Amino acid sequence: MKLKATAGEIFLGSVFVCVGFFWIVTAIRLPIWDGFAPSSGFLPLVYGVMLIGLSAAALVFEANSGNQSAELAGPVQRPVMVIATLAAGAAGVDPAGFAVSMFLMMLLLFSVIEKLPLLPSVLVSSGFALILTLVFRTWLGVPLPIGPWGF
Amino acid sequence: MSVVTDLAAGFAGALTPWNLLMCFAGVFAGQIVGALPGIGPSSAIALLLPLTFGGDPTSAIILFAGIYYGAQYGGTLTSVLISVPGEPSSVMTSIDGHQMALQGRAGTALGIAAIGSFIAGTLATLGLMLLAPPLARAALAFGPPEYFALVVLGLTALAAVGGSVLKGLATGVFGLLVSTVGIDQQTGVARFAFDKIWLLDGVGFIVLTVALFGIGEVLSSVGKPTPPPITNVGKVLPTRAVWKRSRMPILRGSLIGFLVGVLPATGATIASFLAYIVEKKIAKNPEEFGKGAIEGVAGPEASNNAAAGGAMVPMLALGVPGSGTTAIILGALIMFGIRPGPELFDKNAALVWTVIASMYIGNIMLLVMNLPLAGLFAQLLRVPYPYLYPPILALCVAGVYSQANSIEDVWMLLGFGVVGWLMMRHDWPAAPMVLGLVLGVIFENSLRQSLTLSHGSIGIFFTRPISALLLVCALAAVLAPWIMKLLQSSKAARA
Repeated sequence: MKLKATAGEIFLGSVFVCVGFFWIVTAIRLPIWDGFAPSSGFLPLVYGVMLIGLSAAALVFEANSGNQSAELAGPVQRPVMVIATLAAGAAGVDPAGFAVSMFLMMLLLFSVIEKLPLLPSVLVSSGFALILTLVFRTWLGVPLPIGPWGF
Repeated sequence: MSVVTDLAAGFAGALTPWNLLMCFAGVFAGQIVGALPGIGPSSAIALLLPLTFGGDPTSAIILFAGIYYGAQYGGTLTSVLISVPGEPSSVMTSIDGHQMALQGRAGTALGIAAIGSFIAGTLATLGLMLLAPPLARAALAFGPPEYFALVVLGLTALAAVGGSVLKGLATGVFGLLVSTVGIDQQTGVARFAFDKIWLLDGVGFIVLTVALFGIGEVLSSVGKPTPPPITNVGKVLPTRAVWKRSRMPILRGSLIGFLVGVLPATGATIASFLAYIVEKKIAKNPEEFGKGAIEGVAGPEASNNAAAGGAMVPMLALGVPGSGTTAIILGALIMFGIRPGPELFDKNAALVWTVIASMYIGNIMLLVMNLPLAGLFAQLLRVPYPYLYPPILALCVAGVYSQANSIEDVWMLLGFGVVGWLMMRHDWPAAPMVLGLVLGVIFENSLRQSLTLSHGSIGIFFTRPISALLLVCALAAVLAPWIMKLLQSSKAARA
């Protein structure tokens, strides 16, 4: 039997298996059955067992079938850089305020990751940060975090 | 004859300048909130509720109903153009709609969505008018075992329409598993909250949806060596061939949406999932689904609009809301001193028929607004992708934050976004996971209620005819792909 599942597929399936295992371990500490009906721990326990079984079966099936979908999906460097920038943007929302944080996040994506010219990057980033603030904070009354500069 | 005279009186009321303005304001606001992730029609109606207090209840209900069905149109725009479903009920539209957009057929997708929504909305209003009382009574025959079986059918059928049944079932179970995070509604026990207050409410639907479909899609697209070039948005008005492929999905979607909408606590999201499943199951070329099949847009779009009309049936006829939004509209009626239920059609006939007539008018307004706007919005795709995706990410963050004003939701968005990206890379379907989260609470509650009713016997699911039939269908949905494969391979071996 020649196994052909990609490393990414095995990683994803393993994440699902680990989550299932964690759910089982946590669920058995909860009450499982109460009178005639399941209690808080029953379904999480069942879901955990099912997730492990189905994910493992899907991985084995995929390995045997020889599908290698990820080979066509391209490299991971750029998505990882985008994830890091998004994480930095999210981390900045509370201390720097929503508008400033989103402006910087978009600017970084435009100018550093996409290597677009600086002026259009600044204009689009600031314009869109302003529009989002206007729509969500001013019109819809969402209390988006404000930075030390008052916006 | 009485229906005709009542409806004529309704149109007389709905066509007054003030009510027309309310109808327009409702559908327009509905379109905007529908397009914005994180802000749904429920929030918009809740925000506007205090403004209508002391005013005319008929105008207020026209406004709220307009927001409700207008939001179903609005959710389509972002689903098709940037694969960020503005509304939960637009999740299925984003699967094929966005693929169509990437192929330069965004105009067609938006056009058929607008036409399908108009037809479905009109048919649902007709259904609301004619069938409200008998259908509402039939919906009451659905007890906990039937809801349990319906959830099982929904999950298994959706898992089975993907490329791999096992992967579909696994992600569906993952969604169910995520739905157990937070306070157990029946026992009050905190589960998987890790002593974090923000996790007690569980994982928000909008967080998971925007993460899997919005962030996942962006990460997937930026990872491709050459992002898809968009040079053409296509025609908005459907060609004869497109119309021929879309008309039956629109009619089927309308019927499914209306019937599902009538069932209390189901709503437009489940209706759109079911419509997609049905279309893929009966399609001549099911392999086109997920790659830009027009039926995958027409069916779910018709279905979610028809469900909005259907959900008004139990609300008006029985005083039982069919969805979260109709629950708020129900609250508004009570706030105005009007008691929804069987007597509403007698005691407040003028209000009911004016609202029904306004729904016909609102659907026409939406069609007139959407056909020209569809082409305009589709031009957005001409913007090069490197300029498009950073604002999409910022919109996702704003939308998710605004749901509960919580930065922790943004972190969950990031985490599930990475999972969504990995799932896309390796062809694990995301829709069953979303459906699992949506249905998890109904599934658990209906299981517990059913077993309590039967004193712990699982026989209750097989002795009640509707429940048994639904479970047989669920089993068939899982087994059908394997049986078909076996039959094909044995046929090939014989040949």
